[in-house]
Amino acid sequence: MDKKHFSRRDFVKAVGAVSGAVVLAACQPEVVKETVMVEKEVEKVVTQVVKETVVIEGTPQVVEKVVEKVVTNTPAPKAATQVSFMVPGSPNEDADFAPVFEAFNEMYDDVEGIYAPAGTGYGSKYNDKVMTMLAGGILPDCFKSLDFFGSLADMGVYVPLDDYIAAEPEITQFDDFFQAHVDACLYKGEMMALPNDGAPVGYWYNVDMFEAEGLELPDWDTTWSEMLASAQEMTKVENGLTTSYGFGRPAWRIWVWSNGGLEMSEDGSKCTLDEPEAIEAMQWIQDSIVEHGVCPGPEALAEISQGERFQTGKLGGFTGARGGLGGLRGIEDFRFDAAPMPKSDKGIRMTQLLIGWTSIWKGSKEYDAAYKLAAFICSQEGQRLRISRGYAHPSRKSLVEEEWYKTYQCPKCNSFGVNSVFPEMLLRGEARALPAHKDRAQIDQVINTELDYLWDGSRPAEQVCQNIATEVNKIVSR
Amino acid sequence: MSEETITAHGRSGYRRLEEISGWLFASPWILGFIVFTAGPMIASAYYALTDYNIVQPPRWVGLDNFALAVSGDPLVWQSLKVTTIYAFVSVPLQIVFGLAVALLLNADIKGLQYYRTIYFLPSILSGVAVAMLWRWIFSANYGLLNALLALVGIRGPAWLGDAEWALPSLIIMSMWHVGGGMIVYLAGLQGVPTELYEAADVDGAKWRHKLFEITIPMITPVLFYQLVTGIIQSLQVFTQALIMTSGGPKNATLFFMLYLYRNAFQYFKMGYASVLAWILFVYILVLTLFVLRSSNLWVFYTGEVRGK
Repeated sequence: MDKKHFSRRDFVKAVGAVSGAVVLAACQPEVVKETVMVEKEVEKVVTQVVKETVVIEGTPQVVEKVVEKVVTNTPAPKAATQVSFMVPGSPNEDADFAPVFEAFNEMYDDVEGIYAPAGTGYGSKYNDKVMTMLAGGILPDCFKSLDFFGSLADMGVYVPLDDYIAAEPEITQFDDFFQAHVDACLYKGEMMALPNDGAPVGYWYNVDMFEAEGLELPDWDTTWSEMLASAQEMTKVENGLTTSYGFGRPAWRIWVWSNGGLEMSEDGSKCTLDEPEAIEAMQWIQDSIVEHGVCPGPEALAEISQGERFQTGKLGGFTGARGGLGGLRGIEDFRFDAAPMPKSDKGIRMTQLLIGWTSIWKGSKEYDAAYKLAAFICSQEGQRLRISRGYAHPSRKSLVEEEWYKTYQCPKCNSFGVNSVFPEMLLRGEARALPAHKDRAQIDQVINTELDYLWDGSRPAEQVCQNIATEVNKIVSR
Repeated sequence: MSEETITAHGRSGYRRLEEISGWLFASPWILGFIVFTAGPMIASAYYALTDYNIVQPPRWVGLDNFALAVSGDPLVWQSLKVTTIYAFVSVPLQIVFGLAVALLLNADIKGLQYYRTIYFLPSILSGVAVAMLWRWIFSANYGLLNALLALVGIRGPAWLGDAEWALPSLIIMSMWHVGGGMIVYLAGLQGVPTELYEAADVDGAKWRHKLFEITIPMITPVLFYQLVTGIIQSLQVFTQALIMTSGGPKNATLFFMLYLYRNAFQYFKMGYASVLAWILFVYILVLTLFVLRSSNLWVFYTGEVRGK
């Protein structure tokens, strides 16, 4: 470098050198110094000069006295332990949780709960974020699981909560949970989560469509055959195009369970969809699509979902949880209601419970504080503060008896059905969650792929079920 | 020390300084490559030999993952088949259509820059909005495509809902991006010497002679570039399948990257997914090398002289 002249070339070289140094510095691991403040109580003797008025020989006089006092130096209160909680997050959900965290932080001086929404909304992006944070070791202390509950439990991601439940009965209020919700949080006999909400799947129906055809409205005694007969009246075809269908494609698991079948054996080691009860249920669904045409097939659903069809008055009914009110409450053109899931012709009703799990991450450094937060979120007050603002379903028996739940109304909805059928199915023991399985995602993918052949009628139900059982058994046996 | 020695020392010192400067300038990229590319590649090569679910430490399994991928997992071959068909059909189509549009726009007409912008705009749009648009276009009963086919008396298929037509639907959708290639071809066409066309006119050549004997040979380097990058990109297609079809119906659109993603992030089989990543890498490498080797036969560079 010429000392007399700093050329452009020199400038560019210097910039390159600085950039390289910055990059190298940025690659250094962060050194975090943690300062631990320790406060101790200290006793010390303090000398004070006190002025006192005394009477000496009848005359009041001010006298100074030296007094020694022992003073205890009480340390300032320790900072609260911070624990965070993550959900997918949305403007509505964020607003729902605000009062929950406000109440929690008022209740506890030694624990500060931090609401940390993922900002992804519900869906695969939330799962991706959970996995990314898990891989990076930065998951929040508590978080809500959407899918993969069994997989994450099997990998030891969650803290088992049985000891905490036993040690903290007052904040857990365990007996108040619906049994189906408790069962859903078990993995290999251990409670891996607390249920923060969850509704059984019911049957939403278009009241006006039923009444227009002079049909009886669905109730607790409605069977599959009656449901099919009603659907045939409500299905309309014009110029070869079905303009309205009787009901949406049933959730196949519910149909299998209601027919006395199971998807997997109790221990999860074998697929049982190739058994007669399951095949019969699957055949019923295929017939409703292909033979009777009362239910939209894959081609129709690829265009317009059944939720959209129902909201536009083109579907007599469809299966869904109470949370569907979030979209349905905007319906203005027709009356609608919720009914219990129809019983099979064998008289069995077993619907699916859709649940939200709140778990504590194994990598959290504050299990005790995290449990307090998780327990509060799932507590009566925590659920009341949140769910009374929205349409989720409480996981507690006491909450479905409260006025805010029982008296919900929306303009076109018969609130009796909405406010009674979901908890009633739970109380009758007619709801169960999908059993947690470590290979759930892969099993579901295999099943959903093979079911494409069922929905379009290209393979009979027996062949579809047998293929599913063969492929799933390969997965679970690895 | 003699003057020559001092000068020689000065020159070597200057060269050393130049060398150090060069390395310093290149260091940000080198570090980035090591940290974000080479490092993960080496890591994935290791994880491919393990059973690794991200959460727990990797467990050594040797070549079990490779054996499963090659002989025990039919979905590997299904996804490779789907991906290969997509690449081998969509890339040539994109080249042909892109070149055709570029030839049309390579004319001195009024408002040409607006036409170029219009054709280029779709290629810069992406994401969920485009996927929703195409879902409507492919709608069996209410879609634009079937409505146009109905005008000529053809009943269109279910497109995305039909296992036979789902993959062709995504290939048609890939034509959305021809605008990007069009820009590159336009640049190439601008580089063709006009005196060649003048000489051809003198010889009485027709437009097809000029196209196939002058234009296309002169832009073969551009075509070669588009072919190589097109192959590499098309073999890594993922978003369309994830958003529009989820690999269905009946695995008809199960692209290799989608299957890799599922194994990694849904089935928690990072080790197996690493094997799939290496299989895809080798596949793309082999195809690219094949195209590179073949370029001697059909790519002509200006000023190149080939021995007789």
